[in-house]
Amino acid sequence: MATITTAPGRAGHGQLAVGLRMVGNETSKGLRVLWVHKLPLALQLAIMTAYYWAIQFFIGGGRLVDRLLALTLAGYLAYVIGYIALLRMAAGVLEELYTGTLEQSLLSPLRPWVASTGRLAAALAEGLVTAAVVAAFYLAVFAVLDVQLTFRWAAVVPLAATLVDIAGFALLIGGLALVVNSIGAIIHVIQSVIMFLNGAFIPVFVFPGWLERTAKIFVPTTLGIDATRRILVAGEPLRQVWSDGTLPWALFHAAVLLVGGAMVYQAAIRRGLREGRLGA
Amino acid sequence: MQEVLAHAPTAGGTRTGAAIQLRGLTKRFGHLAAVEGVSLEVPRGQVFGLLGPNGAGKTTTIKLMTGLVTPTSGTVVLGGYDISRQRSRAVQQVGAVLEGSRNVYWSLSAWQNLLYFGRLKGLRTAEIKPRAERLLGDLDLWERRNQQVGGFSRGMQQKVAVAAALVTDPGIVLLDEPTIGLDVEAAQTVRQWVVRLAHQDGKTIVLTTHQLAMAEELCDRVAVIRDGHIVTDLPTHELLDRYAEDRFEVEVGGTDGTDATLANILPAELPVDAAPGSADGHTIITLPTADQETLHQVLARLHAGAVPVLGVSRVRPSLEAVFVKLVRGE
Repeated sequence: MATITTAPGRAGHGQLAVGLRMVGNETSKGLRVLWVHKLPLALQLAIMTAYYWAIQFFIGGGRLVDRLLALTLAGYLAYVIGYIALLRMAAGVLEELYTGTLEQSLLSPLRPWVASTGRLAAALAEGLVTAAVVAAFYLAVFAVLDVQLTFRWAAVVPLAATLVDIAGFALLIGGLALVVNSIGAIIHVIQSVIMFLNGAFIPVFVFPGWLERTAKIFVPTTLGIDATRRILVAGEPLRQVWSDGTLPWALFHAAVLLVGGAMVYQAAIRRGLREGRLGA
Repeated sequence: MQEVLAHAPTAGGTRTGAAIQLRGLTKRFGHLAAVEGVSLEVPRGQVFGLLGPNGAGKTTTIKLMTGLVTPTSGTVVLGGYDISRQRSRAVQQVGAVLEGSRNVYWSLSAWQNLLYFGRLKGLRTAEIKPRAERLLGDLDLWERRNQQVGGFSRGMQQKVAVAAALVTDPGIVLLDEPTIGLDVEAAQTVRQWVVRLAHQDGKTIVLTTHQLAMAEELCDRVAVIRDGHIVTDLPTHELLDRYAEDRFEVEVGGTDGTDATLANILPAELPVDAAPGSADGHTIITLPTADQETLHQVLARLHAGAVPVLGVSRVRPSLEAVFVKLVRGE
């Protein structure tokens, strides 16, 4: 019979290594399945790239506004990653549920939410690669248009918080996909709300106060993107973004979403096991 | 990740005891009792058939065994590990081919699937590769190992599913309708594998199927489930004996059943029928009674008439006939 063996006295280390290997296995599977569908991926990439141009073209009244481009690109990239992560988590989970492989994947020593981080990592990797291509294209466009957007290392902190925010929210949506029948429509609405309110169209500081506060509290990525914008475009130091509470709230938001997402996913799996509805 | 720990087997089960222990297993979905108070033990190396009509609770029982459905009450112990309390170890004891499911990823190749399912249980790639090579070779899939499973025939896909269930070399194999939708040749391959797994490799196999001839051929023991209750659980031969009919069949040689030899030997007052047997020159004499005295009279007369007696048996029904009786509550 198959057993997992660990060296005496190094059980903890061995378990961690085995666990990480199994999470990596999920990520590897997710990426391989994605790679099989190369053509849709290429199409998705083209649409995601063109979409930002179209948005800014309409908002600019028929032209690209230099200042607005610099203020909104980070928000749009966060939207791209979020869009793909949400879609892949929900659609991936549902596809596996309907084909029956979800049950097989649950015959693992890993807790379901831990295993799901492997699936999530694949979704985030796809989102990051797509966002990187979109970013590379527009940074080239910015160079031609002489749009000023300087990378600063300090932005890595709020960007990381934004990524964690997306990860937590994607886990939450993946869990909801297992228990909510109309999750497709819900995701569509959520993705639109993120795009409209996270600063991908226009920066949140031009919103009415109540809408800005609502967006920062309830719309994933908004806080992190606002902090990123202030560092990259306004040139504010990290200290300032921290001291006025923006960055701490962004980190707190990300942590709450991550923990909440993992709990919702685990609870959804438990409910599915209880109700016997995780199979084809 | 904490569950990837080396736990001791549960107190209720031992590493040398029954491979599968179900105790008072009940699953209710609302007011519907899908499985009610099922208790049984399957020893190591046994092929156990779980039979029942559609909706009887077979698949729910299989999923309860794998921990894919949480029981309302009762316990499942696999290889000595309680599925609810020692899940991480318990699931490592089992490989499953589930009914109505693809079981494997059609977007991946057969090889990628086996690597994935091996790693899923915590094995290293180096451990999986030789097993995967052997399984794919034995199942005639080696040449197509790098092709996507989605492009395979139904039979080949099912073979990949069987290979994926076996790649971790589990002691317990759960096969829920493994031959459903398969053509004759593919179904035969699966049947041969079940025999090999049980009798050569010593695996414990739980098999559900509607193909009762296959169950009769493969299963050491059969349980019939109806409305969530186990209505019978016996070794297959014992079950068939229990439903044996009240008549004997005597196979004799040296006659084709149509000549006058038998009529001369067996007087008209004996209630016997004769018909040609399975081989040339063989005859089956049927006695429509379980009366031993009559049997002895017939045998004595055959002996006196120098008719070679090739075999005597009490007529046993097929498993299908027994199954129908059990399901009807007869």
